[in-house]
Amino acid sequence: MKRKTFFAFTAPSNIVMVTLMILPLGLAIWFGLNYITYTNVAAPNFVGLSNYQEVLEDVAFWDALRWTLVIIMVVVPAHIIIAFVLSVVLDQITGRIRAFYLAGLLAPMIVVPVIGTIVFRQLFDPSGLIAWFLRVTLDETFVFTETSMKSLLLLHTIWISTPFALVIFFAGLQTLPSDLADAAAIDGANRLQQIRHIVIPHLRSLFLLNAILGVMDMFRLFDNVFVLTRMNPIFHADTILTYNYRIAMVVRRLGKGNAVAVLTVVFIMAALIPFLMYMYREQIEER
Amino acid sequence: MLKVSKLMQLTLVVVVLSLLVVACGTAQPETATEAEPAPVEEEVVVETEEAPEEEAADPAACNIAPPDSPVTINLIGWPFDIMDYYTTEIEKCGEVENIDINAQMQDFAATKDTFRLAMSGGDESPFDIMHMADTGINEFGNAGWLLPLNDLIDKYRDEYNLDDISDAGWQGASIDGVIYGIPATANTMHLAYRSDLFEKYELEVPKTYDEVIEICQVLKDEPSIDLPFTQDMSAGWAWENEFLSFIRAHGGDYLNEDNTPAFNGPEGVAAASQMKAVVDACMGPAGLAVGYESAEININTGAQAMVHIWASNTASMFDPEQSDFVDVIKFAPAPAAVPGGPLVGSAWHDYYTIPATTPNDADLIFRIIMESLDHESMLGAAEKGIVTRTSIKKGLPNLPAASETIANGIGIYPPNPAITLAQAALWNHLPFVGTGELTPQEALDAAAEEYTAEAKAQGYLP
Repeated sequence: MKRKTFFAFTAPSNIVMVTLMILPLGLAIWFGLNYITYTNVAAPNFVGLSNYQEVLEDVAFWDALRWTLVIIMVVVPAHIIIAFVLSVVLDQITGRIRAFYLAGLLAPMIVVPVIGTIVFRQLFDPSGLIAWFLRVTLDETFVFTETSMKSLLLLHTIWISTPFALVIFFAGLQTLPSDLADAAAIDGANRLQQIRHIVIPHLRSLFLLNAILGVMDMFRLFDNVFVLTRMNPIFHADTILTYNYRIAMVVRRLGKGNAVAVLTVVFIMAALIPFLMYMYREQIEER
Repeated sequence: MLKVSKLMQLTLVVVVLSLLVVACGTAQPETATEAEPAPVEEEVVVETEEAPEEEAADPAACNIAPPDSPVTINLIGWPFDIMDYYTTEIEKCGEVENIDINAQMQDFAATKDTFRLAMSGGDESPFDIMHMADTGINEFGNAGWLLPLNDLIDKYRDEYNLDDISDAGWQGASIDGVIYGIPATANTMHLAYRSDLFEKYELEVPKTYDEVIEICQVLKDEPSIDLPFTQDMSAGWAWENEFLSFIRAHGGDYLNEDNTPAFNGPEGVAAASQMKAVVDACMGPAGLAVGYESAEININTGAQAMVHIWASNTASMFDPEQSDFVDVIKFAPAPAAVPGGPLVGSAWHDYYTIPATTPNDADLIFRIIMESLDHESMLGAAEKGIVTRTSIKKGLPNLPAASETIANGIGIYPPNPAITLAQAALWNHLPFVGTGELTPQEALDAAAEEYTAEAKAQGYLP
């Protein structure tokens, strides 16, 4: 294909990408080099890299980044494993009842995140159902501490992340050739061996895809953190995005907030490099 | 190949044009503004002859002359009982010819964020009526985003009997004599308590926080409740909200006249220490998670004996379908921090304001607002919350307690734009006083350091 033709074909998507992604990113980088509050949006004050310096010198930023990385290391593997197991189990179910189970498993994806989080938090309030259950059965009063809040956050994030990964795995399982499983069964492989030697290799690219999407999603975590913690600093549970919210919306330093956003993009890219390199190597090997 | 190339070029042109159309949009400036006053005046003269009959027939209707051309009035605010009522009153003006009312209700923080984002660009405001509290008057009035209303107030003073609205309300809406809002409702934090438990243990209604702590020592052994008392300390902003009342009740304030921090002085430490003492005696770690919405549920279900709560959050306590203890929940003024001192409650108000860059006729918008805040409307609103017309004496059962707190409390919100930075710093550090991670002095000093750095960056300090 001629280069001119190639560019002509890709021009529409390139224009959309530039308009909706590259241009805003460029603007964010530029805004991060300026001192901007709500009162001088029309006439920002160029300050160079001082916003970035302030952010990188802020202990709260590194605490938020550290907690975000913890969330990634716990939630991403957990939700992938749970989603995979559920998809394999669901694949075994035949008949109309499968749709019923699928709908139930997808419910966390359908519930509005803020509403779901409010209900989830209320379960553990002093007047909530789970708090009552703990009082009645174990004579324990549930208290929101740093440990309990972070645990609830991890649990809730796994709950809301699993359905999407489940859908991806389940779709991948439908493409698995049945003759492979039949041949393995004839050769004497049990179900676990079939999963290990046939299913998992077949879905390897989907594991990678779910990992990449999971990492990106964890950097975007905001709704459930905001609602569960009510931005209370005693829980030390600020993620990168809630930290960014404090800077931009509470302290109202828009330029500094853009600097945090740009740094977040840099960290996301850094986190994704191992996955992208692995995918690149795989593609080279296939060729 | 040539045909394909031309097809792709055509597609490219269509896509680019589409993006341009979507991105640019159109503006339809009001061009008839200058022409409106004369015909409106004529119509007013005509209507005056007919108005008495209409008003006598339906004083609850929106009695304003239709504008010459169609206009949509966009209102933004956050919902609670009395403001929902006023919104309904404003929406009645949508029945007037050529007027369409579009009310958008979000939560408090989202409303302010939306307005902030809309006004910061300097363009025409997408909103015409903005529901605002004292913090909004302070921030947005100082930013020049709100329309001064002094002239309109003078013009319609007699027609709507604006002198009937309380002085405290007008003061809260003013910055250096410029009035930016029309007071719609008053609010404060007062005490709600279970009178049956007080009778059982022969307790007097507390007048000071020391007495609150003593009562907690007695009630903590009551088996039917989970918590003797809470006030909202479930989030940083909630701590700061209470701290403002406490520090002023101790005779202190947030900032000195030169904007240097005063909140980490002796009065601030005394206030934070007293809040910590309340947490230890009355709330414990479980109570620190109880926000005012949860506290409202708790007192209605009998899980809690007392609460320091907003007057606007008590409507459910009068409703037998929402409260199991309607007959025994009583109300008292907020306790004082020190004997004989101001009560730990503010003179807060909610207002309707008009953005400075509204594209619509400010006179019309003002009249639409006043039709919802006239005497007739406020008579109905008095069943939902505290109204601002002093001639209206009837109200909810908590009205006497709330009125006394407003009259003898810490007063109106301080109109200094630097206050918002002090608030943000306090949000980040005060909660650690409750958990014991920081002493009151440590927390306030850390907040002062954070405030000072940010105030210097934003030009409030040299």
